[in-house]
Amino acid sequence: MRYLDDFAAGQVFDLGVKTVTAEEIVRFAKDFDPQPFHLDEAAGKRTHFGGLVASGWQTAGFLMRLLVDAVLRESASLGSPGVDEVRWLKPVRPGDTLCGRLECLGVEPSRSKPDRGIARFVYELWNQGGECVFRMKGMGLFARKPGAAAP
Amino acid sequence: MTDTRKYFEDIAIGERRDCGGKVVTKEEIVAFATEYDPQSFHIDEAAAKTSIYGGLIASGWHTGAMVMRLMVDNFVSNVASVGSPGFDNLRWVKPVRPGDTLHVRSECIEKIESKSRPTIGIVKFKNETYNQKGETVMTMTAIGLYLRRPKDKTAKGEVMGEYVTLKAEDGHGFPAYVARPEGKARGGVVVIQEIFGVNAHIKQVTDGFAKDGYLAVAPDMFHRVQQGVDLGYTQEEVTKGREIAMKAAGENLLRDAEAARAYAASAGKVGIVGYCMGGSVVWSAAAHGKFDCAVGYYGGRILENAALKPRCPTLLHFGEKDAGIPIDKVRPFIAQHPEVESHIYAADHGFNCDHRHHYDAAAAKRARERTIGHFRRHLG
Repeated sequence: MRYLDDFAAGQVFDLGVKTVTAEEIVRFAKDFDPQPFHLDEAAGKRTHFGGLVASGWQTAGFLMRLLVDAVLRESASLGSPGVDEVRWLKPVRPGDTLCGRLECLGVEPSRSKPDRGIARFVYELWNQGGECVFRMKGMGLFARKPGAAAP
Repeated sequence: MTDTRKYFEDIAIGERRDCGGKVVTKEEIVAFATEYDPQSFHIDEAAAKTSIYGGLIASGWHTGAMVMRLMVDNFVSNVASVGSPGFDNLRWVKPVRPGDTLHVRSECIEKIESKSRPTIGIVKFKNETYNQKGETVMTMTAIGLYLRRPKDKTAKGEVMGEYVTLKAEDGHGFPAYVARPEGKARGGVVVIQEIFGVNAHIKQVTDGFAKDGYLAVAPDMFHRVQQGVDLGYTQEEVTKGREIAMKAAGENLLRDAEAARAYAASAGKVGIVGYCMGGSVVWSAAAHGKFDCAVGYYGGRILENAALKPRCPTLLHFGEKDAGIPIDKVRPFIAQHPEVESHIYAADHGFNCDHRHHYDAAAAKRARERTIGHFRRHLG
């Protein structure tokens, strides 16, 4: 179990890989982002994207899933207050294999609630062509290791 | 075909939109989280009960995606958008739980002309997601890339103006459509809308006064009730327009007209002209406002406020067949106000509007000549 106290600035985590399918792009878009370039390859061709691309919110979801599987599942995660500077740098297309990377920027124990604290991270997804397609800064809320907080 | 899409130029800072009504179900929460965010407090009701959240809550990314859907359904389809580079400062302020209903309030907070790409503008919005109790659950700064309005779009059916943001004396920021004359302005004209909002017709009329040499400003008089109202003339839209007009009535209308006057005053003397509901506003503004002259077309409430005394040269147009403003009541009003220049046309209510079946070309032309004459005499 990984607690807040187990994170430290400079730590880098390999989050593993995820291969994106056209079927899941379209399925997500139908529910959450029904714009032509997320729904249909031919319609996407007529736009500046030049083909079917994943909704940016789905790309964030891919990152989240990798993060849960690689780090959060075996951690004392309590959720997150939010994220900053979220950037969709390149389109994500069917067949892309995305590789997740997490870097810890620092840890801030809570002053008001001594049993928890915030860890700050940079989260990234890179595609098979070596391009960074998604980057954001954000925070995770974690429980402190039992007994770790100063009395 | 007329391009009705919203371009970068058509969006005003301070412009607000509100949409919503998305009910969140437990099944949706679990289905999304199972695929994208399988943490126990999103997928396992029993485990969620003992977590710090005390029950199942939606993944923050699910909330973001549901908000995206509301935005796509309500706003995105009619804008000249070319996507988004991302967003800033997202905060999950409160948990979203099964049974919650989500709404989104979006306000334009910043516009930036792209230096590297002259066809693109960057628009930032403050988006606030709130639940059925009015509690804010998520906030973020959304960033949109919008196309600039192509320069050759002033042909028939296109508008020549742009939106600016005005500030009323009570601090309210709101949009106004502004059309500028070529060369130096003769003065300013504030155009007060009908109950249909600052729609295509009002923009056309505003453009017309700019072509006659005036800095013409059409403030969004409904912004306190609902911003950006743009209705046509079907029975359904008449009903909707009346509902909004009922809520918008009162002193705020004069405040907002005054904010538009102050803006137009950069061009010199300022007149006011209004149609239907706007005609009634004109009558009050002539009595209470700082305008240099006033022109009212078939204002329904003029008769009930017959005791008002205009403080500036005032011209009124009435339609003989206007059932809402009976001519046998207009005649004594005219007799009571010899200081007002009044004209009666053999036409119905709304005769100036070529988008309505009551349009009367001859009456509209004659009334417009008199209106421009009035402006020439009193504004320059």
